[in-house]
Amino acid sequence: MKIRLFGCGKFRYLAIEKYDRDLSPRENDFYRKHREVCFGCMRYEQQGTNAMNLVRGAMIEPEISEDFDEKVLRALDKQPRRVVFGYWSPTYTGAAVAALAILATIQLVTGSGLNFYKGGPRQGAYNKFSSSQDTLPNLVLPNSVSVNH
Amino acid sequence: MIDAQSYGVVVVDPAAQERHWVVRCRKGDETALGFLIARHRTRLIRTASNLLRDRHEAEDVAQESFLKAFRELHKLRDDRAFSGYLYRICVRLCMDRLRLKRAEIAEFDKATPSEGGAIENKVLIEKLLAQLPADLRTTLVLREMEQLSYEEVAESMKVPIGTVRSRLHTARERFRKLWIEAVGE
Repeated sequence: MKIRLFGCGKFRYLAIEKYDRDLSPRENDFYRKHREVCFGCMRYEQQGTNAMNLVRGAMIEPEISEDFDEKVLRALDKQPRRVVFGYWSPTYTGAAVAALAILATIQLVTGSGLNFYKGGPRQGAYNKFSSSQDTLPNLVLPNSVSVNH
Repeated sequence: MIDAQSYGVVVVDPAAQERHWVVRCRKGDETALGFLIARHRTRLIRTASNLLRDRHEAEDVAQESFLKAFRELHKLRDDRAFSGYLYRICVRLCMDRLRLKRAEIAEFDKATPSEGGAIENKVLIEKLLAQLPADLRTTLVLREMEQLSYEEVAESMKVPIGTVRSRLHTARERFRKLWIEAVGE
């Protein structure tokens, strides 16, 4: 049967806290006195210290392969190709297709594109030009310029 | 005013030097890239090894961190902060991998107690650490193995210092319990 004294919770809290900060004189006094009378907490403290010592001792020293730098630089060389590919990302492509679709819809709805089906826009332009040929304004030349026929 | 250079002494401030190399790196100088890799590789691989407990994977993560850092160098506002920026990327990549690993390990066996030397203890520690959630494990390793301060842990994990404190407290307590269960003390 485990016997827990008054203040065991506080002791256990302080046992972990003391890894990172200096306990105040009052806390230290409580800690020391409690450890002397409570076997369970003394064991708890030892177990905690052992566990943390094990963690610290399990550190791995790095082993770096000789061609590590080369590998990184080689991988970085591939970067420009990826950046260029970035312009063809689904976002940009989707946005471009949507923009084209919107433009086409606007043209169809406003009817500006209908000329094309009624003989095409070129013919319309030609008709406009030919009809306005009669009403072309006469050119007024300055006196210094003579025109020989 | 007399400065050190007038006596022919060259004062090298590591932070200023690094800033200089980062500026050159932005312009595409390969020598600068090499310098920055050489300067930070040991620390990155060591941290990744301790977090992932796998040397080969650690090297992969370190490589990935360099690539990500160099590609997104334009996002770095302060050239002096390159070291922290790179370290943060590495820690985050390790945490991502740990989360994936933990999901895989969850179905595996529990840690078995072993009586033996340092190698057995290391294996046991690896098994115990694998049972901790990625956040707790990372906090514990950065603090206990890498000996980082609370501020540094908070910065590399992008969490408030209070969170680091509470995570560390929980991680220590859980690790102690796992260790006792495994060793049977």
